[in-house]
Amino acid sequence: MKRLNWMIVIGMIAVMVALAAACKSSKPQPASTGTAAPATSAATSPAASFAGTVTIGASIGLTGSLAKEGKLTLDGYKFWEQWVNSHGGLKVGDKRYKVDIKYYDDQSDANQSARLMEKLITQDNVKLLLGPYGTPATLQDAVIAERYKIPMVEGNGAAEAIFNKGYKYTFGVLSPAKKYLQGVLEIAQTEKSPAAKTVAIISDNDAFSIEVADGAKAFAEANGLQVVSYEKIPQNTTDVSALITQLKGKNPDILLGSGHFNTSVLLMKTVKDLNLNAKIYGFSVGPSIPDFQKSLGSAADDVFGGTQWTADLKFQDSLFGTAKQYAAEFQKAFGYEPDYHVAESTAACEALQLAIEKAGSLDTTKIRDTLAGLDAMTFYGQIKFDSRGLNIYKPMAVEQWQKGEKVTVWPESAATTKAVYPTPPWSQR
Amino acid sequence: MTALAVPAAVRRLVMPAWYGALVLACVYLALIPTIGTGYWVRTLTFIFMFAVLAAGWNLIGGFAGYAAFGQVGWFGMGAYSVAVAMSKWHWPFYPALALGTALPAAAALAVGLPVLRLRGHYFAIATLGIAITLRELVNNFDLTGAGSGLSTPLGPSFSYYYYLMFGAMLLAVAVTWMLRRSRLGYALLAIRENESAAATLGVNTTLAKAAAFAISAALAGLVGAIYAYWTAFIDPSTVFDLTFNVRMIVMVILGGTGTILGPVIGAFLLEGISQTLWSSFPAEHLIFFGIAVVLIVLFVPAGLSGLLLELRTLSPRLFVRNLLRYRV
Repeated sequence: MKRLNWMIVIGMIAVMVALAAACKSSKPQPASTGTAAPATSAATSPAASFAGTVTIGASIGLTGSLAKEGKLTLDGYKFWEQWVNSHGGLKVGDKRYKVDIKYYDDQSDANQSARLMEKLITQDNVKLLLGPYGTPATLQDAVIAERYKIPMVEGNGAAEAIFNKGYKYTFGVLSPAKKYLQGVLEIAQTEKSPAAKTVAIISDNDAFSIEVADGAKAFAEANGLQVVSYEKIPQNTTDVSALITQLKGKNPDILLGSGHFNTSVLLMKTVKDLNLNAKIYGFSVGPSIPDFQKSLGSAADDVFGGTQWTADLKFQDSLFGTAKQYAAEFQKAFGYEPDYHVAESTAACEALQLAIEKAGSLDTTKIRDTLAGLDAMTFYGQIKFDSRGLNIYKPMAVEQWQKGEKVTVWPESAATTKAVYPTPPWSQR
Repeated sequence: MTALAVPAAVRRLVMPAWYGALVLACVYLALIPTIGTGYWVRTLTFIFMFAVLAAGWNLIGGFAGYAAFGQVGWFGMGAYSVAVAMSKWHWPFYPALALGTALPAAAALAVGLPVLRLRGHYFAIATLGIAITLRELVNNFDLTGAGSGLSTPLGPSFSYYYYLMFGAMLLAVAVTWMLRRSRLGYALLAIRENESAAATLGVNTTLAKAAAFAISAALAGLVGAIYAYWTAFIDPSTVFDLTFNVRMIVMVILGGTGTILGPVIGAFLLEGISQTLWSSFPAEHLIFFGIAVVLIVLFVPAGLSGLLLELRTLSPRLFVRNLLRYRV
């Protein structure tokens, strides 16, 4: 008994010390990378010639369910930060400023994201914001940006729900959700042997996915395709075999999945297992991420994915050069090929930069007004906002996995090869 | 978990200081929006919200001894009442707030009458089922925006919600205080200690439990309603977040089950610990959090309130005694 007592006391003390240590160092350690950028600095010697530092705030999910996408977002931001700082900095009037992205991990929690945005504005005195990853967090953060009249440029919240609320301080550089799967349907329209006539749509039950699915459904119906099935599946579904079995009876020519990465992989696995044969498989989120092919192996072949951007698109600007050059430089710095999440995040930074340079001022109201009137070509495509702050002017593209390689197949101007159509039945693969 | 008796002498000495400290704390909290930053206003608004949720759970879980696991269902129902009333029917906020409080209370009364006949694990599972059912209903109705969620109009400044949540917390404490002294409160305590005996002595146990369940649902609905207007957007996964259930229960246990201020103290401590740990150990904080919860349940099952009352006998033996007292 005596020994037990002492062990307990020691245990309690250990925990208290741990807690006390935790409290001591309670300075949030978001650790913006700051100057820790790679030493590949260009002509100018940074520290000497900068007139000051412009800090831009962001909250991104680096842990939790969206950690994968959050990391891509952050890398897109960081790449811009490093690039600008090593290429003379941010030009404001005739002065040049160093940029510093201050970010916190919101644990993929929209409530936490809003809280951190407010921390950035009220405690860190940040005057400019970049968006979080995902529609739910963006919806909450937009409220904060609006309240404090701080411009927020985002590249990772595509639902129009964000932009239909009349906010004046939120700008999205990416194409709206409803366009994600339209490219896949346009490809289907051009193929005649044999022609695809029926469409089945399976959607995740969240704001973004439903907008994607509704957009695809409307586009299909307007173009003479017959939508034979439109099903929403609950979040975190781990078994869709009943749904796919039911679909087999309807034998759709085109199967569209509007969901997140896990759902897309699950659907393709089940489709293969249950031997459902469509002529086209198309997804909104999934195929653009290399893990899609790693998870599915050869079953990923011939699958189409709608994408905001690919390196094959023929866009360019004076900051990074062409889309290809951007991709090459990014790969050099971060060691992997940038997907569209990375590109749209960098594009959000670039839009902010263009607006600041055009405004010639760091005044938030002026920057907001300049953003509203911005019309610029970038490596990512045209950036121009409609009255709601959404970029409806940039086209989307379609990628397809072909023999383990991801290639751009649409639009024609960017296509590196022809789309494989129709997808051979599972028995012949 | 019997109520711990405090000697009258200690009571006379400590109580005035205790009340004074409480009043000071309230005044300080009321001033936060004018002296603190937006970050603190938001963090505290959250803590108030959880304090109300915990206080609500305390009524059914702490007083009546029924471990409800679906309080977040009432929270979500309150939130959706406001969102639907404001965005679809264009109601002003206050009538919507009233709806968001009354509807969960009525629903809890209706389902409480049959469900509260279950005890122990069965009751916990049934309440969890109710919360999940509510979430799926919302997920599949167009009126509630299905999975897309609903937007509410942009309201006044953030301090407005701060005061609303603060008021809700004071209300929750007042309700608990009054209940503790009412006939209903004694009935609930009797039910917790021995339901059959209480029934034998003439307590209408079904009615008492259902009333406590309805009041706790009303409190959860109230803060859900404020939350919906505050964040301006809700969807099923955020307002029917099942981890809220765990958090509110841990808060009550940490603060002191069946006490008046315990849930509030627990909310402040748990959210405080959670925010501190988060900022120091962004990746590992949940591990520490889990360890803290296990230690609390092991060594201070009567919560911090219980610990304070036993301070004069504080020794390592206290913790061992706790272990022995609550073992199976």
